[in-house]
Amino acid sequence: MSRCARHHKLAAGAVLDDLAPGELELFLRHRDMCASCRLAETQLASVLVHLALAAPPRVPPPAVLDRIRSAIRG
Amino acid sequence: MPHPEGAAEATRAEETVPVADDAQAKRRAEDRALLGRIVARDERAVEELYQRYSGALYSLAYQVTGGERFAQDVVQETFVAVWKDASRFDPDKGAVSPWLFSLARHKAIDLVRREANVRKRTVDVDLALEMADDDVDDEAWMRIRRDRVRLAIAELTPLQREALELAFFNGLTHVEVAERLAIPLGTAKTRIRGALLRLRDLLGDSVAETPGVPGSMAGGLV
Repeated sequence: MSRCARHHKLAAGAVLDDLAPGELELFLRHRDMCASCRLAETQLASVLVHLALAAPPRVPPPAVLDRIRSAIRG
Repeated sequence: MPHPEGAAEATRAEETVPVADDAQAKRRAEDRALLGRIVARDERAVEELYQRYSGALYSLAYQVTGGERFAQDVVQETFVAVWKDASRFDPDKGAVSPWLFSLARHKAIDLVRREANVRKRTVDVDLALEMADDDVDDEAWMRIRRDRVRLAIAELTPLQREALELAFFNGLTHVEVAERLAIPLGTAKTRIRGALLRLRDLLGDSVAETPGVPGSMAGGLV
C-alpha cells in the first residue's frame, strides 16, 4: 500500500471524527504536506453529505422554523 | 442489494451530470453567499439556508436519532448554531454543505448519547436503496444526488454497508462497531473506511472539490 493510500484511509476516519490519537497525529502531520490527502479529505467530507442524502426524505414541521426564528431573535 | 432498475437509473444519472455539476458549483457559491449574509446578521439568509437544507438535515437527524422530536431538536440546534457561529466557517477551506451536515450529525449523535433510551428504538436504518418518495417535496439537486449515492451504496459489499450504516447513521464509533459486530477493531476500520473510499471513487465528479481542508468534518463547530 502506498504511503498516500494509507493516509487516505486515515482521511476516511478523520471525516468521521474517529481517529485514534496516534492516527490523528500521523494524519495531520502528513496532510499538511500532501495536497493529495487534503483533496481526499475534502472529497470524503462530500461523500458524507451524499450519504446523508441517502436517508429516506422527510420534511420537518413548520414549527421548527418558528422555533429557530424565536431563538435567533431571542 | 442491487436495485433492479440500477442500470437505467445510472444512465439517467450520467445524462444529468453536466447540468448537475454546473448546478452544484452555482449552489456552492450561493451557499457561501448565504453564510456571508448570516455573518452580517441577515435573518432572512438563515431562512433561505433552512429552505435549502432543512429537509435533508431533518432526514439525517431522524435516521440517527430515530425520533421526530429529536430530529426537530437537532435541526433547530443546527441552524441556531449556524446563526451564532457562521463567522467560524472558512469558505477557503471547503463547501458549506459538508460543514452543515457535520454539525447536524454531531448534534444528533450527541443527543443520542445523552438520551440512551433512544437506542431502544426499532427504526431500521436501511441503506438498501429505498428510492425517493414522489410525494415529498424534493429539490432536483438533492434527488439526483440521492439516486446516485444509492446506486453507489449498492456497489459496496454487504459487510462494508453494514459497518458504514452503524458508523454513519447510528453514530457508533469504530470501537463500538467492532463490538456490535463482534469483529476485531482493525477489521471494523477497514470496512468503514474502505466503504467511504469506495463511495468516493464511485461518486466520481459528484465529490470533486477544490483541494483544501473541509469546513469542520474533523472538528470545529459542534
